[in-house]
Amino acid sequence: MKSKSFADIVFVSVFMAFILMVAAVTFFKPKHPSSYYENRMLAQRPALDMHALADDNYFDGWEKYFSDHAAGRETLVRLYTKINLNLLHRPVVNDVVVSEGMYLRYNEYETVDTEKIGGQAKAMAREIAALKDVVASYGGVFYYVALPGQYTYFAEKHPWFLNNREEYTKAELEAFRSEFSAAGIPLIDMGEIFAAMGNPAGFYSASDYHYTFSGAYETYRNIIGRINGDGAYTLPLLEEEDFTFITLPNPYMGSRMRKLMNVPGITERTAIAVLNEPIPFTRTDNGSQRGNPSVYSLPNNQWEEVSYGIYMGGDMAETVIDTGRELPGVLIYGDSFTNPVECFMYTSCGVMRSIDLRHYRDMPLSEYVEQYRPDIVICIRDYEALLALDGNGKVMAD
Amino acid sequence: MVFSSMNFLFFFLPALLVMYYLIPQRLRGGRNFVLLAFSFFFYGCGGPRFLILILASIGINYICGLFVSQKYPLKTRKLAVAAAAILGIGLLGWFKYSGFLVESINGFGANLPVPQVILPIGISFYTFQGLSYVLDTYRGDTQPQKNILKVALYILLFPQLIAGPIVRYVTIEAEIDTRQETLREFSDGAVRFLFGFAKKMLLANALGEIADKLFNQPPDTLSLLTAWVGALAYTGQIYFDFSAYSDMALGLGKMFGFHFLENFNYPYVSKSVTEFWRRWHISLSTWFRDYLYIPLGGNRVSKGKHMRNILIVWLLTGLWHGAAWNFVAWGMWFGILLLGEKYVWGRQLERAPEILRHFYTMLLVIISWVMFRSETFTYTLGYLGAMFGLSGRLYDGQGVYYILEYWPELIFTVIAAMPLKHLAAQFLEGRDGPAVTLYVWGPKVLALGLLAFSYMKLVTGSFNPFIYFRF
Repeated sequence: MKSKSFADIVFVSVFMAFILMVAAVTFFKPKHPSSYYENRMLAQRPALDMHALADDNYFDGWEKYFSDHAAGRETLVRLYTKINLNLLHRPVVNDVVVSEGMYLRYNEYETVDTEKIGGQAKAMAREIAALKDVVASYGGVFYYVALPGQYTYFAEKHPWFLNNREEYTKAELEAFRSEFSAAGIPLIDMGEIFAAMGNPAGFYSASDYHYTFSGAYETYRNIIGRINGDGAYTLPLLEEEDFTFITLPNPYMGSRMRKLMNVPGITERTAIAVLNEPIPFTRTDNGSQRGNPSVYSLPNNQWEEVSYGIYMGGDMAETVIDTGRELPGVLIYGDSFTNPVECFMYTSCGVMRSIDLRHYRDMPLSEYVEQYRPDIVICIRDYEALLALDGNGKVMAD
Repeated sequence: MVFSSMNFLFFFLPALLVMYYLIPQRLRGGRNFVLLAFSFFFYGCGGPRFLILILASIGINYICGLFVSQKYPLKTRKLAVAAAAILGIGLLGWFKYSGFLVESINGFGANLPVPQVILPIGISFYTFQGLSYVLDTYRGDTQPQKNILKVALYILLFPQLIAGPIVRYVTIEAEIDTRQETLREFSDGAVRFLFGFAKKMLLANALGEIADKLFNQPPDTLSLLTAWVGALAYTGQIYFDFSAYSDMALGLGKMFGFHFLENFNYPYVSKSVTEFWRRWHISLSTWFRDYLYIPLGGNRVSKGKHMRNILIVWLLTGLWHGAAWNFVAWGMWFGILLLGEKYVWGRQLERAPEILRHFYTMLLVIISWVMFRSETFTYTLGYLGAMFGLSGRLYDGQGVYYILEYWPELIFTVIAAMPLKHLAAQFLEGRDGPAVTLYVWGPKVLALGLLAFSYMKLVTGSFNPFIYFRF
């Protein structure tokens, strides 16, 4: 009985100490406004107003705030990730598929609706054909570059019981190619080109959705090859002997590594290209000219983590690189797959413009094209976004 | 506010404990007032606009409770009971069933506007609690409470306010005034609370992730394996979610000196549907038994009337759970099964091997949860079809994925659904040597370990990488 009383005292003391300490630390610790690993702003302390109170949102706001700033949160999330990865060996951790030296994206299970896909492909072809006509109206040329995402490129690396979207991608590409062909839109399908090369492993990241810098260079080479081959314009091609690939010693933080809280697992490095004969240029981002223009956003030292954002400094609404040379002007638009290609493309043109319609709001792309009249317009999108009529899929005015 | 939240566990609860225990035990009224004030705040956090409603419910039951006292003429007492029932159930009916009723009438071709009413939190529970107070007083099982604050405390008492158990007034009547809070009771209560908290955080939520995904898919996309994984996950989720809440309520009650009756008793070890309902949501079953089934005549009537009584009780049990036809069907399913066990196959069942009886019970219970979880009859039929192979596929990757992804939770689900904790306690109780240490320290150490894991799960639940990471 005596030992039970002692046990009760110890237990109640530990229990009370735990809840009081967590409460105190959570309440009083310095608050960070954002989470690096989650790449988002953390919840702010809710403001008290009658509307929020009446809508039941006020106390929900406190719950989100305390959860986002809970004592030991980041350490516990990392510990939980480690437990799931190394102890419980769950096949999917934090929505990341853990597979043979590779971190892939978890895709929800889905039912492929070919009729819906057909309709989307038709609508997308109509939209792009209209832009192509705008470009053709002043004598320019248009190319659409389709790229596999990581889940397609490494489709076979997925455990058999997970969805690698093979069925969806097949149906999507069939419809897309057929509609684009019918609309006469020049298509460069890098998926086919990479497949013909045997899908070299080094072309795509093992811990990120995107291709590597080598994959981007191959894409650039094929774009220039196709433009020059079609004969309307001749652009200088940056050959491999014109630059040196430098692999950065910094740890590469692919988006999946970040989701896994950088728990050790995959070591990946990224590369940049240094031109043997630099081409001087000016760079203007969103209307502001940069003092020391570069196409890379390089780390300060060799230990700092780098991400895909080192290429062109990440996604920008509008970037203009002017090399001052008498070469055709190029406009590239699309999602973040455009960024490493742009690191090469500016070497092949006079003025290179880059637009990301997810961020650019000044005017519809069709008007932008009419205003600046680039000789070559290139759209670069990945397979997942091919049929998406929002963001970089919405190019014409309503 | 739910118990498994940061707001509750690390702010509401410690603040309440400090305030409550700062008041000396002899000032019972002071402690009761703190408990009442915090309970009021607790309810207000979930929906401040419904505070008026619960205050109205308290007022109705308090006033009606006064007039059902034996000192009034029978006519007055009956009128007071009727008023409590009509007003209490009327409010419940309006908030919970008006939309369903109008939609059902519209189903026959009418075109009435469907009232857009938000269901106040816990209304089904506190309505039944309030009614039980008035009915028990009317029957003379207890005396009317003259202090409205004590009626308010009984109805608003936060541990059981939102999700039960349905505590009858007579159960805690004496404890409102004369309970004894002790370290032993507090410790036992906290252990019980932490076991419930862990059941919710570590098992129910994980199983819910599986069930939510699979019950949102068209049934024809589910293989036999996947459909069973979903049904079993929901079977686990509903038990661990609900019984966890009851564990936490009972534990919290004990921490403040109250003793609520058990609400679950390992229902998934049952060997008949009748036994299942003796072990599942006991406070609701006994409420319907005492206030509806027995007044209707119970089983001391003709066979026909008994069957009618059973079906009425189960029709209303179904409707109590939700305002939709699938809940009606779910209630009637159990009504028919109970009648079947009573009048048709009960004797044969008793003679069957235990394993077969258990299999029979679980199969019928799992089917019932599919009805309960499905939004429509069509979905129920489709889902059951997938479970019995009508989708034409025995297994697929999705079912395998859920098993591999959630294997720890699935294993612990099976373990925690069995009365192993009780068996271990029974085995250790009264023994000497290390068994004593294990008996005394085991549950406490385990509870603290579970608290650590549950806190980790609570915190990691807010890990939410921005959508950008899709790319």
